[in-house]
Amino acid sequence: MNTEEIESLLRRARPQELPAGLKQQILQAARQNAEPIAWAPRVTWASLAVCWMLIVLLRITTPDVPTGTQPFNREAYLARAATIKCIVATGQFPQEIDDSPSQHPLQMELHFRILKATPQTSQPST
Amino acid sequence: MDLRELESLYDEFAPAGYAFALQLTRDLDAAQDLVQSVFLRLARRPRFTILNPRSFVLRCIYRAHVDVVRRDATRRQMLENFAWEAQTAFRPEPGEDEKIAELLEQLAALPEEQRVVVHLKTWEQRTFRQIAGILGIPANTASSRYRYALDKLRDAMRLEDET
Repeated sequence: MNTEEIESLLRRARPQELPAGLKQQILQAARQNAEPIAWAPRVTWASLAVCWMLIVLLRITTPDVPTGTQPFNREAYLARAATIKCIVATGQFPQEIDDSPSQHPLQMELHFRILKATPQTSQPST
Repeated sequence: MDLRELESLYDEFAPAGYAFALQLTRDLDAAQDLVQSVFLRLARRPRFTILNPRSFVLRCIYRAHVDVVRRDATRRQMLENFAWEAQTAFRPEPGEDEKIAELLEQLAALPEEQRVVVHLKTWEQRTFRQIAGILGIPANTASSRYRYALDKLRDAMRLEDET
């Protein structure tokens, strides 16, 4: 018997048949495995929605803090604070100050907050 | 991959995969386990865009078998010890020559590395290059293993004829 005969004999054989229940077994297992994956998009969307709501809430509740575009100038700050103190104490704008703090509403707000926090030494004249 | 895709993939390639798994393991339960594990792994893939899915399935089955054998030394020993009652992946047509049955038994007794190459060459009609891709060996090695296997089969059949 030569090689070609062996090959042709082998080719005449039939493969063993697949076990009958194997397909159902695989499909059932695949279905069970697939179930948690079906949850994934819903979970992702829900977490995205929660994140978005948190961002919106934080944006609403956080006050606008002035972010200085210029470096902090201690002298100018003290001068402005003195101006505001003068306004609060006397009800008048000091003559020697040429730049009006009302031009900087955010800084004004900040100064008033500082003034509120510090105890007043003199009462405004009536 | 959805279940419909998996089902069509199973219908198309599971018979070949099962025969190959049987050729590797020579055990019905082990072959069934291999096919199941491979198709379940394929089901977890999001998409199945493979140029040659048949070779891909065969390669997956081979790798899964190698993993099992490496992991489970007891199983490997068992498969070797009970080789004499090995299950053949193929069987003769009813009323066919007894020589085919004898040849299949001789094939089942060959070492795994040779048996597998004969399977892929004879029944899967793969080229040596494709066989090399499936088994992860050089094409020349696949070719020489095939030649050794056929030589052994020829010698065995000659002995059978003489007795």
